[in-house]
Amino acid sequence: MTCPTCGSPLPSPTALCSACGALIGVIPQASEEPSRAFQLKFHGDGLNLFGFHALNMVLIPLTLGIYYFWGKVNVRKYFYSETEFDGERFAYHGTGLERFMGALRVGALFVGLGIITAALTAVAPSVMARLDRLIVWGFWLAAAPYAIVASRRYRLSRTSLRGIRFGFRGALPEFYKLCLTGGFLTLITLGCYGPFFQHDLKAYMIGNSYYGSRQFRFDGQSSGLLLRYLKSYLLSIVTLGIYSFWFQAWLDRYFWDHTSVDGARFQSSVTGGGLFSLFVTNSLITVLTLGIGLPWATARNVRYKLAHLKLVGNLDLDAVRQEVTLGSATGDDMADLLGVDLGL
Amino acid sequence: MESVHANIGVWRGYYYDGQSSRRHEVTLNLAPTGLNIVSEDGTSRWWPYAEIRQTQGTFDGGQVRLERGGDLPETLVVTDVAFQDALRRFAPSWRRNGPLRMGGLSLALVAGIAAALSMAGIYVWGIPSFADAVAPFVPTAWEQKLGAAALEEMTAGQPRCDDPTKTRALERLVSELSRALPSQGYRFHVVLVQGETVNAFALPGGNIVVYTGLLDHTERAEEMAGVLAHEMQHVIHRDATRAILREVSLQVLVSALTGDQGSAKMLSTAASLGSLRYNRQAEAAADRDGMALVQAARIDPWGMVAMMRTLGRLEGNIPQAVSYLSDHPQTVERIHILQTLAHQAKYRPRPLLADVDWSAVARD
Repeated sequence: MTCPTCGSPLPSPTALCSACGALIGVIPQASEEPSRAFQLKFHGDGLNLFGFHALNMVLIPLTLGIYYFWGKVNVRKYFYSETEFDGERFAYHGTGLERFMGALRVGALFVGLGIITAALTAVAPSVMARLDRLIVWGFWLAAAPYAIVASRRYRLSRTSLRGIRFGFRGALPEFYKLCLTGGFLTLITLGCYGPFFQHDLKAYMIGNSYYGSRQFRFDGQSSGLLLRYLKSYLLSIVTLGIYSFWFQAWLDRYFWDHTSVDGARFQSSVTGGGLFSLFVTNSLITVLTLGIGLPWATARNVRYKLAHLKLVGNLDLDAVRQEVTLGSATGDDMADLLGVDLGL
Repeated sequence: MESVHANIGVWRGYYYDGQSSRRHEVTLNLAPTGLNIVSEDGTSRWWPYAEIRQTQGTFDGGQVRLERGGDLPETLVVTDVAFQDALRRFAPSWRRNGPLRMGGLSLALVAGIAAALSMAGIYVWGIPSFADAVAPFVPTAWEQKLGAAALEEMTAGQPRCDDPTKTRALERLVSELSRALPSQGYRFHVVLVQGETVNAFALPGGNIVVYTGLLDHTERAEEMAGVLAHEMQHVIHRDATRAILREVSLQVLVSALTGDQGSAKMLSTAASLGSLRYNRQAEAAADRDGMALVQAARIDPWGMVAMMRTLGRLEGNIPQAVSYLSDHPQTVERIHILQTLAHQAKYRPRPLLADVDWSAVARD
C-alpha cells in the first residue's frame, strides 16, 4: 500500500508512515461514504482468559463471594477490549460495584418475597402448600422477561465504540406481551410455533438496539422458517445430531444477514463444517486438559465467530451522536440468578 | 516501529469527544504534569495526569486507551505499543482502571497455581470445616423437614412394608435403645421399605430407613439392634445434615466460580441424598457410639459384631489398597474394632424381645 499523505510506498499494512509520520487511517473522510466491508476481529487469547478465571477462583472464596462481581466484570472487559471493529476496540464501562449493588437489590427482593411467602404460609398454610409450585413458577415466568430485557439494556448501555454508547430501548410491556403470546402459542402447537416465536424475539431484541443515535434493524421473513426448522430437525435426528451444526450455522447466517444498521448490513460466513470442527477440537482440548483448557476453547469460539462476521455497506462511522439510555445493573444480576443470562 | 518517537514525548493517536463518534487525529506531547493534545485543526487540549484513567493496554502490549471525564468521558487511543513504556516513564502514578496490571503468562501462572492450591484447600479443609461448624446450629425442625423431603425422594417408587410383625419389632428395638440414650431432641422412627438391597441409612431428623433385604439377613434381634444403634448415632451426630451442607457448599462454590447458575439445581441437590457419603471418621464414630449404646442398653454386643461379619461376607472382599479410596472404612477393620469393644463388656446381657420369634420377623 501507499501512504495517502506523501505517497511513498509502504512495505506492509502499518499504522504510521515511516516516511512522513502520518497516521494511516482506514476510515474514509466524512464526505465520502463508499460501500465497503468493516471487519471484526478478536485479539484475545486463552492464556489471559485462563489467568482471569484462575484469579477469580482464588479471590472469590477468599472474599466470601464478594469478588465474584468484580471478577465477572474483568472478564467482560477483557472480551470487549480485545474485540476489534474496523480498527477500533470496544470498551466496557460496567463496574463491579454496580453489579454488586444490583445483586444486593435482587437479594433484597428475594428476601422480601420470602418474608411475604412465610407470612402468607403462616396465615393460610394449606392454601399455600398447594400453591407452592405455582408460586415458584409464576415468579420465574414473571421475572424472567424483565431480567432478559433489563440485562440487555444494562449491557448495551455499558458498551461503547469510539466513545459512543450502545443502547436498548425495548419497552417492557411489549416484551411481556411477546413472551406471553409466543409462549402460549408454542405450547398449544406443541412447539410448531417455536421458530416464529424465536423470530419475533430476535426482531424485538435487534430492532430495539441502538448505537448512539443509529437504530439496528431486523428484516427477516418468517415465512419459510417452519419448513426449514422441520427439515433440519429431521436431518439432525437421522445424522445423530451432526446436522445440527449445519443448521446452527444457517441460523447464525440468517439472523446476521438480516441485521442492518443505517445503510450497512451484517454478513456472517460461518459454516456448519467450521462449527463442527470447532466443536470437536474444543471438546478434545477441554476434555484432555480436564477442563483447564476451557478458556482456550472459549477464545477459539469467539475468534472464529468474529472472523466470520463483517458489516458491509455505507456507514458513516464519524457521524453518530451520543444518545444514552443507561440501564440499572439489577436486571443483569437477576438474569444471572434466574439462569437467563444471554450473551450479547 | 520507531524513529518518529525517538525524540521522546511526541505521539500520534485518535481523540473522541464523547458526544459524537467522530474520530480526530491528534498528536500528543508527554509533558511532566500532563498530556498536551493537539488536533489537526489546531485545537489544543490539556489533560493533567491526575485526571486521566487508563482503561485498556495496561498489560497486553496492545493499544492504550485513556479516558478523562465522568460517565461519558473523552477518549484517547494510541495504537503504538511503545507508548505504554513512555507512559510509565513519564506518568506512572495515575489510576489504572483497566482489568489488571499483570497479564498474559505471568498472571496465568501465578493465578493458576494459587487457584489450584486454593481449590484443593477448600475441598479438603474448607468445606468440611464449614459443614462441621454449621451443622450443630441447624434447627431440629429444619432437619426433620429435610429428612422428610429426602425420604420421599430416596424411597420414591419403592413400596413400604406394612407387616405389623416386622414394624412392631423394629419399633420396640428403637424404643429399647432410645431409653438408654441421654436425653436428646430426636425422635426416631423406622421406615421399613420393601427391597432386596441389604442396606439401612439414617436421614436428618430421626427417620431411619431399613430395607427388607437387610432384615432378611439377620439371625436374631441383637443383630438388628446393632444396626439400629449405629444408624441412630448417625442421626445424633448429624452426619447426614453435614453431608448435605458439604454438597450444597460445593454446588454454591462451583456456581460462583464458573459464573454458572441454577438455583433450582442447587435445591434439588440438597434434597437428593443419593450421593451422600459419610466419611471414614463418621462411620467409625457411629460404630463406636453405636456399640456403646448397645452396651448401655444391656444388649448382647456380639449381635452387632455378627451383623458386621454378615455384611462383610456379603460385600465381598475389598482389596486393601482400594479401601483407602472408598469412604467407608474397610469392613474387616470395623469388625476388629467392634470385637475389641465387645470384649470389654462386663455385664450379663438381658434377653431382647424374648417373646418374639425373630425368624418370623426376619423372613417372609
